Amino acid sequence: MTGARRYMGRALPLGRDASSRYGPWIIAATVYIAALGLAAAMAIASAERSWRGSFAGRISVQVPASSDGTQSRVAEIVALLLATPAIEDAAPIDEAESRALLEPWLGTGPGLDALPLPTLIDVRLRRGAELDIVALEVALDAAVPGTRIDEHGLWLEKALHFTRALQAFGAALTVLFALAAVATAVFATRAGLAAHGEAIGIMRLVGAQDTRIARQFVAHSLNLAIKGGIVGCALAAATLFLLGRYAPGGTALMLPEMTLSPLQWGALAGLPLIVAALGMASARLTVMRALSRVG
Amino acid sequence: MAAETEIVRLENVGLQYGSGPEVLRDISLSLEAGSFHFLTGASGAGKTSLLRLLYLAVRPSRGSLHLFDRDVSTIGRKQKPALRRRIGVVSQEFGLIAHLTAAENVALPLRISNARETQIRDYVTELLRWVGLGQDLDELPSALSDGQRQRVAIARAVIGRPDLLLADEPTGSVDDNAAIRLIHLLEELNKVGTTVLVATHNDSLVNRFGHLAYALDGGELRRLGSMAGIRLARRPG
Repeated sequence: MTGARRYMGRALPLGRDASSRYGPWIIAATVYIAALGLAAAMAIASAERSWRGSFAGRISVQVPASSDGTQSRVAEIVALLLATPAIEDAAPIDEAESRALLEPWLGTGPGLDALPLPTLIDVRLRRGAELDIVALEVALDAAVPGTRIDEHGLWLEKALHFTRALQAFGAALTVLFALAAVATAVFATRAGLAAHGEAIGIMRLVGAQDTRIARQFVAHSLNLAIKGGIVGCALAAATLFLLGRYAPGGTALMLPEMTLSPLQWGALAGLPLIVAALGMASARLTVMRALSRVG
Repeated sequence: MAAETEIVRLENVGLQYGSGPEVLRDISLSLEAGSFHFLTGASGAGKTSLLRLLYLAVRPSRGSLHLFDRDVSTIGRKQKPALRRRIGVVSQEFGLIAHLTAAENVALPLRISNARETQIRDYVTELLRWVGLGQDLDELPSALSDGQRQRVAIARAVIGRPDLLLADEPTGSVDDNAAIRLIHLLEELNKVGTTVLVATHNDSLVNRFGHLAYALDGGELRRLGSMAGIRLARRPG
């Protein structure tokens, strides 16, 4: 059958069409952008999971600095916190650690050392327990005036809104450009139908099934999508590698790290396959519909 | 399966393209297996439309069309290819694929039928020799004369050993001598059992070969009989 297939390829030389020259490059460009969109959406999803894990079930308590007895004030607040049934654990953050957190903004040196910093207490809540934040804050303020509760939930909620919007944007970008790649395959098919209309008519006249003719276009579409998809995906992988290696990310700017898990790399590698499958299905549909109109 | 005695049967067939006027009206025609017929008529009389009906390129607007003892008036798209493989078509424009060699063009029906490569090679070579093109197997159509292209088209039309051969003005692009040789080729095919219908406006050719003839005039079909019948029909007054 190989000889026959090769021969049918010669009868409809789609590989010599203009679409074979520009098609893979257009598909490569669209797959590249779609892959970056997908990678961004996946990285943001990972970051979101990580933030949720870090902040869920936690609050911070700030005890203002004072010139005398800071240690005892902090101990009093910790004792109060630990006596609250909804709280599982409360531990003050080491002063050196607090200063390290401020270093990116304030720098190092005697200025920072002289700055009176509030003491932060990291509080872990009991799973499933209800905590009356307002009542607790009133009680803490009464014990040590100026003590404040920093609830991460509000901040986290806003951050998650933003990341979800980014994720949706990334996903939309992926879908849009994957569809653009498919559209390229469809245009190539239509151009092929127009360019080889006479040969197709002759093939049908001598008894070729429409499915047989459609197979030529499906194979052509697969060829374009595989070539373009591999190039686009390889470029996207290289871009992601460089971003992961050189772009600032992580804790400093609260940006998601552009590193992907093996599973996410697998999903990215699957993108050209999806584009190819959609392109093949579209090519077949386009040809079968066009031929059904001819009769 | 019983042998088919009637290859083509049309009963009161009408054909119109879109909402235009009927180009064929009340056509009734029967072609016996192994017969040879001419179809005559002036340009625009509907000869090509009638052949298009027979090779299933168009459906009749009304009436019934039977091919090989089967009603194909409303046949589905999927059933057409198998029937088309039993029909050979030769057209005035040759219908050759420009970038395929003569041998590749002739091989097309066999390749579509998934014949073995060795069988294809043998048949194609034999057939192109038979039509006098044994030296031109690897020539592209553009390198052949009109007469040679027409013979390639005939070779392709008959390589699948069709039961019915439809030729639309096969001699339109060749000189008289070549035209006579082409009709002789078709007669040889007819001798081995292929039913042949040749559409032509070349009366002298129809007169020369004494086969039964039909005439199309304004979309209506008349049976003229053999050579003598045509002379009678064309007598003025």
